[in-house]
Amino acid sequence: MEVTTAVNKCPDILTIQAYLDKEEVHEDVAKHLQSCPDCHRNYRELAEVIVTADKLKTEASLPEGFYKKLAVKTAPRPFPAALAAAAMFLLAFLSSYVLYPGYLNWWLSVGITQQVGLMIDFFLELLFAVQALGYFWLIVFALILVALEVLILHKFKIVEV
Amino acid sequence: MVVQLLQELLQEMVETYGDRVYRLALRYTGNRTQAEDIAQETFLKAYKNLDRYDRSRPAGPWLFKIATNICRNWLRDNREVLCSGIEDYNRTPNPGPEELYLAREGEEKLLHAIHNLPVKYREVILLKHVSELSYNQIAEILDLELSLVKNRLYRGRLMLRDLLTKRNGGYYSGE
Repeated sequence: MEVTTAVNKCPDILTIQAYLDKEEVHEDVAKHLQSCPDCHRNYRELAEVIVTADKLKTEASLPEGFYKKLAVKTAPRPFPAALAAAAMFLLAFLSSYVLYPGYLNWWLSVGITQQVGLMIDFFLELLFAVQALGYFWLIVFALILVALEVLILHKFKIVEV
Repeated sequence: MVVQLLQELLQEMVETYGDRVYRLALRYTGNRTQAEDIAQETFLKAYKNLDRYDRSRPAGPWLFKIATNICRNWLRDNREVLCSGIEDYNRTPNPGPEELYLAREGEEKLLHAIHNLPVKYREVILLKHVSELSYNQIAEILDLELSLVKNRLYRGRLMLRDLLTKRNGGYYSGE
């Protein structure tokens, strides 16, 4: 608190203003304004000025449907997200094949039902991930994906890196 | 953050601060359509920068800072068209012709007064009287010292009174 007005000392006009604006002022200010006729006059005058400025107040409120319009604009666009997910899926598949051609045989061995199930799961997860990502993180994500594959294949000693 | 979470946060912000941001823009521009555009731009910008917003602090000052900047840009682009047209945006329910005339005249007078206040006083006055913010919040939004906020608020209020009562012909230029 910067205001240190004692009861017998007149506060400056900015302190009176702060009091009128319901800001924190020294508790003695209120008492002083009641007892000092000069300050009380300033107080009354300034209060009138503030009432005049309060004509600027308006009860106008946002038009109906404002948030709806906003929500449409901020909704994730599904097309780029799906496209990015598809691209990453392809990238994951192709890099697996390049790193380890035997990968394809594994796919063929698991059977069609499981294949489709795995693909849908993987694709949907990518789609969800991609929606929340910007382009920078998308690329980082893709790189992590490839690195992970290399790591897994390396661990199983299938590929020499 | 997940998209849905971001949108919930956005909705919360619109519910809490939407009207006050809109009113600020309305007083700034004197036009409902422009005010809605400014409010929308404010929240879109906020949405895009949500990852930079510190959620432990209230969103108000941050939002009003964005809104003020957009208003400044608007002002820069619309200096000429100002005061050329104004709608009666404080609709009274079922106004008679007399009331409509009075309301319209009052609004025009207010808008005229606002636009004749030097910008540095205008901003403080609008944030105080229209958006009803505290000294500290205004200082944070405008990047000003607290003492400067008090000073500008005081001088701005006196100017506004003079403009509204036409004590000096209704104009303030420069300082």
